[in-house]
Amino acid sequence: MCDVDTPEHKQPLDTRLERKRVPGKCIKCKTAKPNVTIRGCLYCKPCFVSASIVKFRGALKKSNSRIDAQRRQQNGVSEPQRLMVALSGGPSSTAMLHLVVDYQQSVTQRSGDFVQPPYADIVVGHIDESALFDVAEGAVRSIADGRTFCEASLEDIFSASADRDVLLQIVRASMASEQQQQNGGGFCAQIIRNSDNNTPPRERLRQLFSALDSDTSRESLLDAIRTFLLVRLARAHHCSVLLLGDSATRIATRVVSLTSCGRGFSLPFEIAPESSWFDGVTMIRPMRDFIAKEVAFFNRWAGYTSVVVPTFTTGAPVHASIDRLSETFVVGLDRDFASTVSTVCRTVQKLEPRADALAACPCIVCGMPAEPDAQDWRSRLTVGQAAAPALSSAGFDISSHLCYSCQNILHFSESGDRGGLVLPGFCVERIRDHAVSRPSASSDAEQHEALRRQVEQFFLNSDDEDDDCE
Amino acid sequence: MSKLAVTLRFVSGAELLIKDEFRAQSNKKSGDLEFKHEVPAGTEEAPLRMKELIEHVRDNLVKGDKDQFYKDGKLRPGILVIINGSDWEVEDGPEYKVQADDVIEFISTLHGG
Amino acid sequence: MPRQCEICHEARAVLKRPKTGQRICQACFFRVFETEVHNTITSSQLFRPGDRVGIGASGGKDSTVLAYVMKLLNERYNYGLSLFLLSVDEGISGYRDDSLETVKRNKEQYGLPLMIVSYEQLYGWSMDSIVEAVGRKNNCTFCGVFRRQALDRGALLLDLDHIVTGHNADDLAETILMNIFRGDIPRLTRCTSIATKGDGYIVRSKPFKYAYEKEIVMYAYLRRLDYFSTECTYSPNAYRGYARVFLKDLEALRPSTILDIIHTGERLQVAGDVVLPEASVCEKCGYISSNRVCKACVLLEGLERGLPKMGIGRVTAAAASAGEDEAERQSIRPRKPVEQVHFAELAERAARMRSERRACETSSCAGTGCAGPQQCAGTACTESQCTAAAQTTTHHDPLGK
Repeated sequence: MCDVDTPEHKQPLDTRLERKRVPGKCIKCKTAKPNVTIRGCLYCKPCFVSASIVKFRGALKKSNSRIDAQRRQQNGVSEPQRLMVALSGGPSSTAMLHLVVDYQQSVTQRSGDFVQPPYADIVVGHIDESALFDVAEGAVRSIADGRTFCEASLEDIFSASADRDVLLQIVRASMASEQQQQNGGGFCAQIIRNSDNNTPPRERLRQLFSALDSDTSRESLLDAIRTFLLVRLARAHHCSVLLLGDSATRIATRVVSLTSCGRGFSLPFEIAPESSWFDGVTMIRPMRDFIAKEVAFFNRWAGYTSVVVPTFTTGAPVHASIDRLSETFVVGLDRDFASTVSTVCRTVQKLEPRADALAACPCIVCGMPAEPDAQDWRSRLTVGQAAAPALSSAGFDISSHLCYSCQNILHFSESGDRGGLVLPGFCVERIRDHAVSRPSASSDAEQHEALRRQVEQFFLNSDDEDDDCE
Repeated sequence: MSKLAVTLRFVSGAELLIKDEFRAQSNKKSGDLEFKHEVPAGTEEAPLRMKELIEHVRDNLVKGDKDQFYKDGKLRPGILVIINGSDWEVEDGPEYKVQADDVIEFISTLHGG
Repeated sequence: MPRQCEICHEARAVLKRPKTGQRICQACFFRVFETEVHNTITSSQLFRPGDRVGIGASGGKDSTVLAYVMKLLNERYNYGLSLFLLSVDEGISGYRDDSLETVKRNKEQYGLPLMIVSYEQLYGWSMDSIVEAVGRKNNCTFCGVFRRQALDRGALLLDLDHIVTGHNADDLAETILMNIFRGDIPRLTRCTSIATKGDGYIVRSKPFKYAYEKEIVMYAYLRRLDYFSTECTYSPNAYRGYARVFLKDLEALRPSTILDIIHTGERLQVAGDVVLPEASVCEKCGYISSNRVCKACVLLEGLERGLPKMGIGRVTAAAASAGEDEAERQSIRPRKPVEQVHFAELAERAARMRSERRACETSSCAGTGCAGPQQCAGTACTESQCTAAAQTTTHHDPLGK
């Protein structure tokens, strides 16, 4: 449909640089023969590398000063923090690690006197995904180059440590239904004991992923687990800042795929330059101004080696998942309409979390804010889903604990023949946190109280948790 | 037809697109792929350009789904080309005339492999 | 064994619902489709009883189904609306003239009054003559800008409270994606609202905001509705084409994605310090505009002066005339200029019509041959009132006779 809301595609012009340009020469030194072109600007190798370093530090300092200001407001002081660099081993996180270490060293080495370094310490955090993908052993560790290397494995979410001795089994996952009110919500689950079963954690993890309906769902869930583990890893190592290596290209791709998955409510948190959604750990994305091409050339010329990080869709056709399709689309659009990637990144920085998102409870699956009326919204617009069967006594309603997008994941997976998803213990913990810390509105107080009792009976045995529960 | 010997490198995921027989020729220990390769040199009137070299790679070296490398008459967006250490867009891009002993690198920047 | 409907579990399933993937029977499909539109209308409180609502009717599938469903829901749920078909004749031969024939048939089939306003009469230029002057490159800009105003002018001539258009969920999802790609923050947050008042006089809304294009086609097919299905003969928007292809690929991966994108769009919020342009009124025609002179007036002036690039992108009058070849300028025949009626005057006339209609309703029409307030609302009584108003301004019969 052609309509009036369609201005011509805007071509941003960097007139400032345009004026000073010397034809056929590097835009910075104006003498050397250029080696690379970035967004229409030519750079020679040394100028490109130094410009990249300046750009990285600029982004990082900007984020740091915003966080410092926040911290001073809260605590009155701001001390250098312990920093964790999330390292997947891919090009962007590899470049980020080298850049931040280099920054720390350059500050301390600048003068002979003692200078307070920007960070108390820099440690590397890595999530081992070998349970799902073939990865070369030790390759990522070697990138860390002797720095403190903290590692967690995906299957850790299923290991039965004392406080995580439970699992969440989905009993029913069906989207809105007309008769739903009489039968309880469309999403129900029950808590089961982990120790009842002898399935090893790695196997459980694989079962969970193979029970999902599509690579789109698998990617979303993997994202959620990775984030959960990284935040936990950072907390365990007393790091209050977590650096994430999302490049501009990656951020633009994620904006499109998160949009397409219905994650608008949490999107501002998931791509923000800084985000403090998770208590005690501020996430920073200092690579946000680098497009993938810049990262590739930087690593090439700085001599940094990265690894190929496999995903569910590695080697698959471009239509394999929403994230994959989004990447193909964004990268292609960027070729045909210059600056698409940076335009998208600039656009989303103007988005802010809504007040109700800041106050919302975290979704038990992805940990991002879950909007309370997600299911009502959907049920108005998809009338006539099959009536949900009456609620069995074992399950309880988890609809309000799921974000809109994770409802999709559970619904599509359950509507197949697979059924019976078993989610890790952290989902139960999030339900408990929700039930304990946030007394609900009076209308469903009774239901809320019932839920609280159900959840808590599973925790009564673990000694140190009792205080939190009451 | 005469041949032109160039060095080809496929890195950062681009190597995953290449047939195993060529991967075996690699002299690198890591996942990176680097090998000497002979391509038809073209003629004096129509010397070999990058465009033809890429089509040669697609037809002879790329395995499986060719769309992953080349689609709609162009190299797939997200795959970078470096000729003798410089971005090929600084040179003439697809029109660059390939010389003997050129080192040509293909770097994938795609997250999804 | 034939499959049973997954909703009623009684009838045989005849279709797989694109929105949910459910296999359902025809009766259940009609019911859920109509109920969802009804839910959209009631939950957004689009109308008040007694509203005069114009259905933007192009003769295409979306607006034909919209007219049918609006009439059906109005009767089924007693909305108490007076419905009108409102069409714009852009003057595209081989396309609009044929589709208007469809609208004229719909007028008979649904028993709804029809008004057609044409570019030729409003602006002195048909799209055919505009394309002749500007070529095929930017003609969609002219068409889009002119259509928006034309609908508002038609609505004022009929004294409508509200215009509904057939924009569907696919259109909206595409628009959201495009606004993200283009970085158009003001439009990104505005485009998802179901009703806009931004255009000054008449509320405009999209009751099909959540209806999948595929289901609208299916509905039209199963109800055997009479619609026109040829694409516009002038070039479609290339940039939107990208978003469209992408959306179709997404939908194939996960059918809920169209709804999911809209859900996302509705939840995005712009940070407080982003300044949105303030709306004022065009000093020439009185139409709502963020600039001193509205886009339609700028485009029209460019056409009249033989500078058709004026107003396209950021080209100003000076730049347009500097860039134009003198010979080229003269090749465009200046048309007989049409005096545009100022929007304030149109609004005044509409208000006058309204009070006359009120008077007519209260002081029983029995003597004047009018059959009552319902018929009054745009059919019988208007012969002497709005027809006169319309004829002086557009030389056009608002009832399309």
